[in-house]
Formats: sequence, structure tokens, C-alpha cells
Amino acid sequence: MRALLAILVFAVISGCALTAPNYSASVENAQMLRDSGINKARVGKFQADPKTANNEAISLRGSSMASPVGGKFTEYLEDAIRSELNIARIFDDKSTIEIGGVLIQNDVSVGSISEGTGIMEARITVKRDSQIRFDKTKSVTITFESSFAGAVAIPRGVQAYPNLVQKFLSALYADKEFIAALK
Amino acid sequence: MKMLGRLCVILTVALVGACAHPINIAPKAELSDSAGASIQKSVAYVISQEDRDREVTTPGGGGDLVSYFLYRDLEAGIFQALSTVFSRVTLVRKINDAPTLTKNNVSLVLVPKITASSSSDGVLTWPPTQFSITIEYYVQDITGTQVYKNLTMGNGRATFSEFSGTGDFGLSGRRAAEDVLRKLKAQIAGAKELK
Repeated sequence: MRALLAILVFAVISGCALTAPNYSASVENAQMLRDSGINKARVGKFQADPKTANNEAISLRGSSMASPVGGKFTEYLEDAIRSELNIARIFDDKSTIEIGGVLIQNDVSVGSISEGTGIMEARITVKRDSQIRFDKTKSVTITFESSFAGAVAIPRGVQAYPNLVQKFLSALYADKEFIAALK
Repeated sequence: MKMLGRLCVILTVALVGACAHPINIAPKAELSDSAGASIQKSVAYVISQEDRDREVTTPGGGGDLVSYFLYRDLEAGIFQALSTVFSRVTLVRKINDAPTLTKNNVSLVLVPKITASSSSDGVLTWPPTQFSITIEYYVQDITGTQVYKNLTMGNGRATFSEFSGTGDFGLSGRRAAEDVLRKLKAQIAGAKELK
């Protein structure tokens, strides 16, 4: 009986490789950018804090979630910003204005039996002609419904990741100093 | 021992309980073109927050299901498709969002209803190999009078070798989304009622 229990527990919690969903650009975020009257910008290379950023994998009850963009969550974030600038028609890869940054915290947790959580923190910079116009750390958290059952909780954790990124970008675009630096 | 038995049952349900595989079907293809908008009008389209947050579940292969956020994944694509036709496009969450409609000088409002179906010819693999998306929509002017109504359907196919090569399990859905949005763009651009 104990052996059966051990097998079942192992089966429920054992790890497998997962990929985060691609980011679905938020039209509301893109409209915020479009309506703010900012100049065209490009997206630079983001760095990751190696101690805290979970840049290559986020653990969900022993399963490992990777980024679908270049295998790194910094590239996921770059791609998300680029897609929203693109929809707002203010993306220009040759612009002298560059958005960059350092990913500090990047995590989704489904460890609780009823509620999942996510956190994203990044130091964002805006440079114009290599001069820093904006340098600020932004942070957001999310909560979502989770479950005791790993078969439910883990997919919910996976699906929550794009929402975490969207909320982070929404908070960033709502920052008046960020918008001013892009004008 | 009785408690251990109950725990076993709970764990077994947790293990084998049917669960849909999450996929993303947001189009990647660029719908914008450099020619610019052909109709100099400001339009809005309506996707309610409830629709955006609704998770849709349809069949995959091997008796499994796939789940995705249909409206959320197509939201940006519709914006881009309309932006190639109209000079200004605004997303609203409610059809009666008068402040936003007024602020953006909106003259037409498009209301889409999106449905999807999927299937797979794979017996042992879950990603859908065939996908179909329908956008049924009407357009009303600012007084609420319906001026145009139509529907369009897009299809997408993908093979198992493509899934295993790219890891993109929503590929057939993405192709269906790109197909339906291309057709929507052409249909709207050709509708004389909207000019």
C-alpha cells in the first residue's frame, strides 16, 4: 500500500519540461503607448540577475517552465515590449531611443493548494544616444486560482505567466517618467 | 489504513483527472502594410473583459483536449487587421463606452463573435492538426444603426513533425487565426457600406 502511495505521490509531483505560452500583445497596453505621443523606440538586450531572476526556468511543483523565446525570460520580456511597440506603430529598430533593463525577480508559484502567485521585478532603463533618461525598478505581483491537484495547478501556473508580463508592462507604461523619457 | 486509502483515491484523481493542454494561437504574421489606411475613419471594436478572460476548450488528439484564450489571442490581430483599413482603431470593453468613443471621434463600431473548433488525426498525440476559426461580426454607426454584417472563416493545418520540430503546439490554431484575419481585412476593405 505504501509503495502504491509512493508511486502516486511521485507521479503527481514529478517534474516535466513545460514551455510558457507565447505573449499575446495587449491592445490596451499598445493604445497607452500610441496615445502617449512618444517617439519611436527600439528594445535593447535585457540582462538577468543570476541569483534571483529564474531566467532559464521557473519551477512549478518540480516541473520546469522555460521561455518559448530564445529559452530565456529576458528575451520573452524584450519580445513582449517589441510586440506592443509594433502594434502601436512606434517600434523602430534603428531608433536612438532604447528601452533596456535587468530582470531581477521572475517567478510563478503554485505551491499553495488554493492560490497561485507571480512576481516580476525589473530595473528598466531608457537611453537616448547612450544617455540614460530613465532608470527605475518596477515590480508587480499577481494572484490566481490554483488547486491541490498538480494536473490543474501546473497548467494554471503556466497560463498565468503572460498575465504577469502584461501587468508588468501596463505598470511600466503608466509611469509618467517612463513616458516622458521616450518623448 | 482507511485514511491512507482515501489519500490514494485523492492522489489517483489528481493524477488521472482529465485536463486540457494549454496552447496559444495568437498570430505571428505581420498584418500591417506600408500602404497605409484606405478608409479615413476612426473605428472601435468591442471585446468584453469577460470574453477576453474566457478559456475555450476544444478537442485535440488521442481523446485529449486543448485550452486557449480565443478572444485574447485574436485581440491584437483584429487591431492590426483593422488598422490596415481604417486610419484609427480603438479597442473598447463595452459597446456603450461613450467617453472613449467620443474621445477617439469614433464613427463606426465593430462587434465580433468568435468561435473555434479543432481536431487531430493523431491517435497518440494531443496537439490539434486541424483548426478552424469563425468571426461573425456586425458594424454599427455611432447612433447604433447596423450598417454592415458578415462572417468569415479561417482554417489552419499542422503536422506532428512540425510540432516536434518547433514545440509550437498551437501551430494549426495560429495558422487558422492568420487566415481568418487576412480574410477579415480583405472583407472589410471591400465593404462599400463602411466607406
